[in-house]
Amino acid sequence: MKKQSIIYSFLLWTANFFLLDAIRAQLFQWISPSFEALTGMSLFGRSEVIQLLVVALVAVFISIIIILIICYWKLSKQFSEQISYWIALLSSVVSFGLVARIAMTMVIRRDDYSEITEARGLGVLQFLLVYMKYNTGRFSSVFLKGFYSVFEPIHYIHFWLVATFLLTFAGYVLLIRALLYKSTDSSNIR
Amino acid sequence: MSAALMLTSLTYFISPKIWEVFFWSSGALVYGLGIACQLFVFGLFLLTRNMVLKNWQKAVIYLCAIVAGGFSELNNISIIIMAVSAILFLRCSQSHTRIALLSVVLSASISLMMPGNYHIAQSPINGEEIRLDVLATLSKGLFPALGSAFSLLIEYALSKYEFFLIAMFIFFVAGSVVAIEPFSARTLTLIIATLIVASWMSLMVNVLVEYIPTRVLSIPLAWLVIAVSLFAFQLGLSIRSTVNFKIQLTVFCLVSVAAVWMWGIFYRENIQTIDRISAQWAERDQALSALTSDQRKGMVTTCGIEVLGSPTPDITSDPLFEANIVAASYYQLEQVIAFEMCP
Repeated sequence: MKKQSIIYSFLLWTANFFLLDAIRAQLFQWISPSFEALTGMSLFGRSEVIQLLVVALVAVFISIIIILIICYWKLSKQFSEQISYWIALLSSVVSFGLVARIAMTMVIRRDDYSEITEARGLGVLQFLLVYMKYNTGRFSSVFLKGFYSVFEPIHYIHFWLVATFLLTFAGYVLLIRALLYKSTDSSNIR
Repeated sequence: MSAALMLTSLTYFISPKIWEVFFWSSGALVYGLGIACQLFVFGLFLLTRNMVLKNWQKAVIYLCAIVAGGFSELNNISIIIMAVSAILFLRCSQSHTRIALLSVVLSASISLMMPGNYHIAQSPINGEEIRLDVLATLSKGLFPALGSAFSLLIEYALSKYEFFLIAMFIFFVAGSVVAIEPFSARTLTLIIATLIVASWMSLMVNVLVEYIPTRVLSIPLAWLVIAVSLFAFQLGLSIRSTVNFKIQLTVFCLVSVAAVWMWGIFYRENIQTIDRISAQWAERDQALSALTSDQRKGMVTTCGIEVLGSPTPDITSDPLFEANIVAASYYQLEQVIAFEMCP
């Protein structure tokens, strides 16, 4: 490691440290819940030394991120493109994982009860016809809900929530490709 | 992918009732999936508008168009406006795109005109004597309704201003580092005007029948956030700065990380409550399902469970409350009541 790099890293850390110390109250508001979950004590109640150590650690973390970004700029074009792709993919997968985890833990409530009960009693087509005649015009929704009469909904009802996220994401990917890449294809690149 | 993830996240977080629109099966199949299908079919139509497709591919597109027209009334109205606008201004498209756009208009119109909509509009609300009469309401005046819908849209857009600012900032920066030709002023105006009109008009049914649950605002706000993002992106493109390719990549990495960060905060804030509700529900479900036929007669007392985003528990102390009635019907009980919350 070059001598300049060590000096640069140290200066970067020092700048980060003083900056974070200046906004310590705001910073602790953000990180205190995580700290409390880990140690069982609020960060605001800890001694000055511990608080300064936490600020120093956060400064180290931010310095590492800045250094990584600088290193990333020094990588070859192809390699940095690959890293960007993987970061975007990983972010999408993690977001999907979080949504799926929430969705799969949701319980049925309110109208779910009546829709499941009525679909079970009427069957898909009868359910669709009755709802279209007396309750609503939303035929796609009602048709999908009609399957509660064929397959036990508790096993897959959460899937709709996951599918909604996936389809929204896919819709935006298609729209962005259609609206932006079309102009690139037609040799409109600056 | 980064931009799609950010837009998806904004669509979720801009919703005034995220739990009802995206995390409740009954609501998600009407509103959330409606938004998703609408985005998906328009993405599909625009992407394939100049392609030569096989017959089965065309059939799939037509089927998607018909399905997308069958969700909430707000989706129906906005999808009709978007499709008509596309039919008028995408003249150079292949015939399958025009047929698909016509299919979506037809499908959404049929959905709006179903007898069920008319029947429900004429029915008393929650057993009260107030009856909604669409024709009488229409005759009272369309113009005041237009004003009310617009005020409502502005009010809710302002209540979620921070997400619009995030969208503006992120997509302006993204636009300023990307090297593609911006839309012509005419095209941009047309797309943004279509999205704004679709947002505005989509509220008309609810405003006319004077029944506006907060969750319905999710649909117009989703179109507005797309309009704002597109406008900011095009504004960014117009800067025409020469930007290092690495800066472009770094910006898109940061956009991805910002999106996953928003989800992380949301997850951390709610997962404990969600897990608790799930455990309480499973225990109560087991207890109610295990009741014998004799025990199901008369009034069954159970406990209530918190409903995310609502101040009322899922089963209340009023046996004639709608939620109590449907829960009783699900568990084949005569009546069910809950005086306290589940431990």
